[in-house]
Amino acid sequence: MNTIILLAVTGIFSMFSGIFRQKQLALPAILIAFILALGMLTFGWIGNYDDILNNMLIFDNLAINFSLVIIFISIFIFIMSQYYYSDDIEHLTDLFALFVFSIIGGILLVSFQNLTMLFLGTEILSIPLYILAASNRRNLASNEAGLKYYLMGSFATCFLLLGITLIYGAYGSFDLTDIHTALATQGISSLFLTGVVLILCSFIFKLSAVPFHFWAPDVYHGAPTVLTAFVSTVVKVAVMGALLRFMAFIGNYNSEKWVILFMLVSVATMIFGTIVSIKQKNFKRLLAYSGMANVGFVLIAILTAGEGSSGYILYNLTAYSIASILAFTIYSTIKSQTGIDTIKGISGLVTHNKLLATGLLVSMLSFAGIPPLAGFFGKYFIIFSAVKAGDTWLAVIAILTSVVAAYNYLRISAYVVNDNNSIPVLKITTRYRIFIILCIALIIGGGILPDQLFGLLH
Amino acid sequence: MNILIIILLPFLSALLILLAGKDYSQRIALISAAASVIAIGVMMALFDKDATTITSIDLPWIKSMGVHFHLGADGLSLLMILICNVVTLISMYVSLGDTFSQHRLYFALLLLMQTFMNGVFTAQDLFLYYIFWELALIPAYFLLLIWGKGKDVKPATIKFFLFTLLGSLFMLVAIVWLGNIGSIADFSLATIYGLEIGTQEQLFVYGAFMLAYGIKTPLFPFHSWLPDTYTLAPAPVTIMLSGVMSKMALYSIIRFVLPVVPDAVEQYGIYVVYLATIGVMYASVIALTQKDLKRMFAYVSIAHVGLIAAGILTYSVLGIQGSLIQMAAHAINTVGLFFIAQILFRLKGNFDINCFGGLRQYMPVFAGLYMVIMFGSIGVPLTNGFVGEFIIFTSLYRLDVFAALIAGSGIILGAVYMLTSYQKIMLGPDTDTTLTDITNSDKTLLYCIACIVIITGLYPSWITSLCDVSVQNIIHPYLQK
Repeated sequence: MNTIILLAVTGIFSMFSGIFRQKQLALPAILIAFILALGMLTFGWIGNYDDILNNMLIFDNLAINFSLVIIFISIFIFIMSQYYYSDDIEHLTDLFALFVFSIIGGILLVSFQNLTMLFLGTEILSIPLYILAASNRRNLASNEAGLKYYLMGSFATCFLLLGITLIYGAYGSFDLTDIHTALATQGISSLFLTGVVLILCSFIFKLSAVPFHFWAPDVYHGAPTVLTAFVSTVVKVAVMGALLRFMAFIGNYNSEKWVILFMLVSVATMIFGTIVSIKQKNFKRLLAYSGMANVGFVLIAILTAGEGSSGYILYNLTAYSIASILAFTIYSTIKSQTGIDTIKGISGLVTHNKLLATGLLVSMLSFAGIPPLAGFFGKYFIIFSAVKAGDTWLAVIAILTSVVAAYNYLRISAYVVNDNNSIPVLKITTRYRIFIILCIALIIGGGILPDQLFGLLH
Repeated sequence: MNILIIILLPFLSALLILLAGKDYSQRIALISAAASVIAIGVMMALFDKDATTITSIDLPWIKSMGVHFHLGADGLSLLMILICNVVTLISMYVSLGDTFSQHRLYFALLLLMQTFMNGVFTAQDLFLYYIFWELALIPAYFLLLIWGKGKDVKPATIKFFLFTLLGSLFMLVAIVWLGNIGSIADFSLATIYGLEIGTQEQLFVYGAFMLAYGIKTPLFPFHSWLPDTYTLAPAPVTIMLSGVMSKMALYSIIRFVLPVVPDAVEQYGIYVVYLATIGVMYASVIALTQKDLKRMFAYVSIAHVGLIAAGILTYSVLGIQGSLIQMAAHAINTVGLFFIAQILFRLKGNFDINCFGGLRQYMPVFAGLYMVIMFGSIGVPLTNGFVGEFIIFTSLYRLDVFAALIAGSGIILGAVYMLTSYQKIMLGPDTDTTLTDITNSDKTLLYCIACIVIITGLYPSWITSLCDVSVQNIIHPYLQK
């Protein structure tokens, strides 16, 4: 709770720093606030807010762990944004504030204990994103992305609201504990089932999983790269956390049906995301589809390990997020300095830009799941949970799709080490260099010492 | 002596090459490779006197998953490490003959490949083994990608990587399953060996493992990545791939498949034996029609490893011993053959058999050494190829006459194409009088290889005595059942 307050204040501070023409203060303040927030989360939630909040939020281990990861990844996003937005861009501080508000939405989402909070969290998370997607105002694609995201997101919100209403109609409460009690006494009503399906649909939409995935590639492609990175990392962690909480809530009722539904979604998402990604020529679109495939992968963990899967999911998503932030950062550097945005265009990157090439190779190999990079254990834990639960066939599908997906990453790495020198020496600052090295070190370190990282997440 | 030396030596050398301010890459690489060979030589001498002098290392690595950093070696491992390090030394030596762009990275990658392969041969923890197994692929991938020749190199490399990745991921599922049978996750070999697994489950594990090893070896239906990869790779990398990487899979079959899933091997091993023998025949027939020398040698390699795999899967002490001898022989022979192909390539700029002829008149020493190595590859008595082949055929014959017949005819065909190509290249008329015999450095290496071919042919029993205890340990528990 303190974290939410802290972040809210930071967001407002960021907006005001723009008004008082102190733009340069915003980013350091946000980063310091994030680090403070990490500290506060690690050392426990101070105070008991149950009375004030009327039991709407719950700050248990799951919420703390997911919030930690959300803020941790956000730090990387903000550092990345420094290299993406030049200082003279208008409304820079407003954009920062929107990011911060969205992160608050994410934290609400992973700690909801009341369906109202689920709705509020989703909206606080999403509305800034619609604005941010269109924030590159002079770019047609960005406007298209914003509009598309907004329209599609509204539909998903309608689903969510209708679902919540139906559940309320059945049991007369938004509170998960009350609904539990009512379910135990009154049995399952068909309104409840319909409501749950509608809410799950909105989750599937937010995760850009099949069959509600159509918005993702265009939005990813058109939106500013920082936002793309944000949507494919932080937002996914937050929604996954909420989904895990929601599945734990409905898990006891008609669980086979949800499991079958989600198995279909998971398998379809993996297969679709992977197969379509093979044909992509644009780097950002490819990452969009591969992120989609990864969502399918993560869903396996929720299906097979239930509540115990939070560690696996967090590990996978952290590893995936850091690798994709690294890839997006390098991509946006190449794009801004040479205008190249295709996969073919990066051929020969290694000739003049050793560090960038190494970074891209590490992130690609991590995506492909090569040990001992963090991505390997991300995949390993999920295969492990599937095998342990006895769903070996899910593991086999996951493996087959990840081999096909590996083709993509190998294709990119083959271009990177290509023997031509079409890409000139790109200008990078020392701080940027340190950032890239830090990401590489995290990816390698996460793979060599997974236990330590895994231990932190428990 | 601690077995860790064998991993650290090449690994630290690779780091040194990458981090050193000045470029000493060639010197460091060569010294390191030579030192590795000496180290393994000392270890084998010590091992011969007292097996306990080779100490293992066992550190907990990933506690929550029960993974240990556990390295150790028995006779079998030592044999494989010897093969690996000798082949690496040869590969380094061959590398000196050509110029490579970015040679620091090149030598560092070769050394890393050696490190990880040594890791595969010494890992006593199944999970650690898997990590090394996958890691060995990465340097190979970049070596092929950056220094491979020809315009198809990229698709061929990606194909090679994906094929092996596919196999190894299925193996990963099997490993995860094996490690988590007990209440506590434990991947150590001792525990895995002691597991009681039902026949049905054994079949799945067997299938997953054999898919990985069948692709890597490669066995008959999974071999299609090999010819392109071997042909397009630069000669030293081809030497590493054919000399060591294919042995990784054969070693793993002996080490993991036979003792872990004995019932499945007993029931279904025969099918793999058939596949392998058909592969011998198939590869030999295709080799007959090849115009490209390097490609032909690639198919020769497929035929030979097929025979070795068949020998292992006869699941008899005889077959395994024969296969071990043949593994050592194949490593050195195939390395010699690819080196010869490289020397010929340097003469004419391509591998086409038909553009050579009558070389013997100008290069008698080369012709002689080529002949010795070729005889080794065909399996002429007194060369190293003979003993292993003979023993494998004996064990195959005892298992199944039909399989022995198919494999035997394949090997006879092998003699046909090897001799025909030799005739075309070395004998016959030629008008090109500008050629002189090969350089002294090449000659030295070929002399060494030819010596090994003959010495191992005359005295192959050092291999059997080195590995005897390991083979008994692997096969005995089952025979006693």
